[in-house]
Amino acid sequence: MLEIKKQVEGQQVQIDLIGNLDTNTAPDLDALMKTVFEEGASDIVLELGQLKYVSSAGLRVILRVQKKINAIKGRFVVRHPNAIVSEVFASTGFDEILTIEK
Amino acid sequence: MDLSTLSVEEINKLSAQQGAKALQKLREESLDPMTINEQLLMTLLRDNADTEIGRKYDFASIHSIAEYQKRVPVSTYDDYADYVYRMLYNDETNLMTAYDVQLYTSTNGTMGNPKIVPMTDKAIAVQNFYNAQVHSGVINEGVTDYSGHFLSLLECRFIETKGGKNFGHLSSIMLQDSAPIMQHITSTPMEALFPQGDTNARYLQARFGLATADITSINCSFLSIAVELLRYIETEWEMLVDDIEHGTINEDIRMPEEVREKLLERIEPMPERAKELREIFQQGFDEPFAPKVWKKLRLICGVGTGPFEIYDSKLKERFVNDQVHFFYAGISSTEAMFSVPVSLDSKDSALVPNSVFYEFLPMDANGDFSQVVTMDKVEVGKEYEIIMTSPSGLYRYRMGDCIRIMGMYNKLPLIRMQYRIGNMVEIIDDHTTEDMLTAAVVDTAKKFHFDLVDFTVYADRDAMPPRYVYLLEMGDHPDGLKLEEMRQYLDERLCTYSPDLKEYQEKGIGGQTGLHILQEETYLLYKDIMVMKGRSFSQVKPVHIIRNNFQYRFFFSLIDRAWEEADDE
Repeated sequence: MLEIKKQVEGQQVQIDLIGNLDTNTAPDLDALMKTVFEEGASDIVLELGQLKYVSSAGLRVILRVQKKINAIKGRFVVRHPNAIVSEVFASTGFDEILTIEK
Repeated sequence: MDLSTLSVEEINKLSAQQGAKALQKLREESLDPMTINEQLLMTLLRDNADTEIGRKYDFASIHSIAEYQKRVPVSTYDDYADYVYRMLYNDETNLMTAYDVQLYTSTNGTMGNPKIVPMTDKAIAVQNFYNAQVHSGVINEGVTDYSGHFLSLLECRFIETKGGKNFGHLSSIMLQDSAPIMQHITSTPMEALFPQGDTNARYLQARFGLATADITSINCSFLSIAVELLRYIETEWEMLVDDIEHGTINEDIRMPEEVREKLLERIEPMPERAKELREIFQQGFDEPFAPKVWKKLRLICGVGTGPFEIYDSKLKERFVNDQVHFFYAGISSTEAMFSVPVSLDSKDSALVPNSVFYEFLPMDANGDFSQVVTMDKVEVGKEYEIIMTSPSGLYRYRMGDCIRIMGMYNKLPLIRMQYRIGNMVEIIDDHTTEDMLTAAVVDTAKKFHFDLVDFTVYADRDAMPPRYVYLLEMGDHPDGLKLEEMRQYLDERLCTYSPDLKEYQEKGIGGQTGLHILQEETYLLYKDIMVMKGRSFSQVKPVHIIRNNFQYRFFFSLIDRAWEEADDE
């Protein structure tokens, strides 16, 4: 299960992920991010404080967001990953690709 | 010749005619290849006599193979690293080679630091001739439908050095040279063959490939790339077909705006083709879909030996039928080209006497270079390490590849790659090779009826006792699979292929093989990350053996623990 909350504050879009980002739920985040980009967002915060787990499929969605942000020269920050998610980011090299605020 | 005035069929026929001539030339060369090979060596020594290496070994005074072998020692990359540095960073010339350096190529560095080697105009000309024209000749002996396009999965990416030299893969320069012809005969747009920025080349290959009904062949560097494209089509067919129907490019597909605009100017809605494709895909994917989508498809070209055997099997099992032939590229490396196939569907390839001067060190010689033989002295069935002298400035260079002599093509040895020397995946002294590890996991996938997406093995030498640990990703799989049952079967198969491992296990000094299942999309994620780090999508090789700490941490952090938990219950 994954609950996704979207908040817009000025130019910044914050996405809160609550639960598990896995094969079943990654398409939901993917679809939401497409809408967010269609709306013209270029300053995005992904709040992971309540994300319990992220799988390969979930990581691919996050990577796609980073690529899109790179292409439009925007800003993408990933915040507050828990210890498990942080470890996955470190092991997969995501900590060198993403901007992570702990 | 103005190719734009010719039809696809006319261009393909011209190419076939050139190919037939080239193949005939190779046949003639195969009658007395040793003379040609010796002449090549003498030419290289004469032309390079005034280089720094040439003066060091006095190439000018060498007039026989025996003298060359006596005077010039066997070498490794370390012997050239300083020369390459001076060429690249000081723009010095005439060090290793007197020929013009057209390109610097780099190994992928999976075994350590990447090696950068020069590729000269002379070497590239030979490769162009054999890789393009002889290939074309062989293919056209078996596939004679010239009327269709081919689907190219190649990508060209360059980095310029400060001296204006190209730095990248050899396939890129060959692709660049053939671009004027390619644009007429491939379905893949130039924007995908030469991708700019973050262009999603895979989408473009798939979208334009599907839109082209008359595809006769699929060309790729490695067969793993063809498998990935066909899997991508399976997953994304609805989006691809929608775009074909409406003449659009899905807005979520990444590419620079100017590239998108250029492409959109050229494409038209194709409702009839979309209807046809939709009907095929709606039938599902239990039967191979490629021959239904492309009724003229008769050929897939790409490297399908060694670590790529698994993708060869996958294509045949899942994606094509037996009307489709395979042309397995010969053995090439960053340093040179060694062999070309001389028949379709054969994994053996013939040495190319004009490419490099060959010497062969028997694998059972234990590094005694006095036992090195030339190509006319090799024995069928025996394994050798190739030592080569190339037109790119490498002299008696140890390739580190073990090949087996499979037979003869007239007097030309037919070879097959066995494994990288020093790259055997041993946990003890068990002589287990990547091929054995591959065969065992392929057998396991067949036995348990699951779709093997890919696999990786870690040689765990720190375990007590040491053991192999497989990590594999499944696509479709039947319900009720038990991890422990699969692990036991995998271990049994590996011991069958690697008898020394079995013996060590029986003695208690080799451990039972381990098995973990990886999360879905793990291999796609690995590739995405490599591409993000600047690698070309078509050049990212599969990681069958864990070689470094990053790979270890990456794959072990993406294990699907649900399988282990299910087994514990």
